[in-house]
Amino acid sequence: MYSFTKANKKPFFAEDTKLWLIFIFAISALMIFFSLFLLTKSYFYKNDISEFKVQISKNNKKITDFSNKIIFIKKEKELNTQISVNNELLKDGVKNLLDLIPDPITLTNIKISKNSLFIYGVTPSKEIYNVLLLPPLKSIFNITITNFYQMDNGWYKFESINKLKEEK
Amino acid sequence: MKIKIPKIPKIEMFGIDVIKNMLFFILFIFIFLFLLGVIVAPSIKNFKIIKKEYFTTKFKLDNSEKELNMKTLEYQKLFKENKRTIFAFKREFDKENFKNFSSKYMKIIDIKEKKSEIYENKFIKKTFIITAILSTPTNFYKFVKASQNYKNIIKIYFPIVFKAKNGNIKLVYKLEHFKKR
Repeated sequence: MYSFTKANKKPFFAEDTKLWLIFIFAISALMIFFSLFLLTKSYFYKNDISEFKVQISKNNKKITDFSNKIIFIKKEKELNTQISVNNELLKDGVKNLLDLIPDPITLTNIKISKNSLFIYGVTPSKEIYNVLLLPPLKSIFNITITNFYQMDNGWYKFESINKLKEEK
Repeated sequence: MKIKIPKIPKIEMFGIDVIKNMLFFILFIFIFLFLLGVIVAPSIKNFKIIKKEYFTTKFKLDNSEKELNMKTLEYQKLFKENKRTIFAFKREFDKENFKNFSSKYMKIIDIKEKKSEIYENKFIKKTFIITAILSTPTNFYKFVKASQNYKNIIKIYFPIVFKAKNGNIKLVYKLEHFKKR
């Protein structure tokens, strides 16, 4: 047989098959691409999370350091205030004790401790001591013992031992 | 034995092979659902979890930065307010300097170091016995008052002894020096 038309090459896939294949391939590629996009984004998020965690850990360490420093400064401040108050109280205490000594009585030695006071001095008479110095000492201390020693000129040397009772 | 596969009948509508296209459609749906279930859905789930973690961590980071800023400001403020005290606690006790400081009120004759101990785990407390000569007890009061502004942290403590000596007063007292450990 002889044909006047040339035989066309038969396509491997029919037109509609090609269309379906392209469609399937496109949707698969799109979905894979979308998943890859999410994976990439997740990867960057993960990197950021690691960096954030390191930063948080550094911040927490710094916060702890600062907190410790703050506590220490407060402690220093408190101790300084306490010492200042103690010094002030000590100064007032010593001043008040020395102000107790009346003019006619002369002191030669005075030892002030936390719970006791030892006074050594000279008084023109026992009465002056007993009237002017003994009452205030008795009002402050629980125990007051005084010893007198007469001097050649008639005046008295005295030693006064005063103690506070220790609180139990 | 040769198995004979039954030939799918060809049904055409307007020149379109309906059975073939139906099979392609089913294949498409299957591939679509398969990819959705195997690749896309786990990716979205994973992404959501990571995204949530990201924002939680970021929130924590922001909070820690805020807290750090607050602590820094609190520390700086406290440091500024207590600069003198902080530096005073860092200094060693200098006998010569103390003598110079006291010279306005009394003449220091002797400074004896008695002991050194740890105080409240954070400080070193050194105890000195100071012997001095002064003309009047008022100078002692002035000295105690001035000691609040001395460059070291010092505590004047008992026992305090005043003894008359050649028209002056011999003073012996305990001094405690506090330093940061």
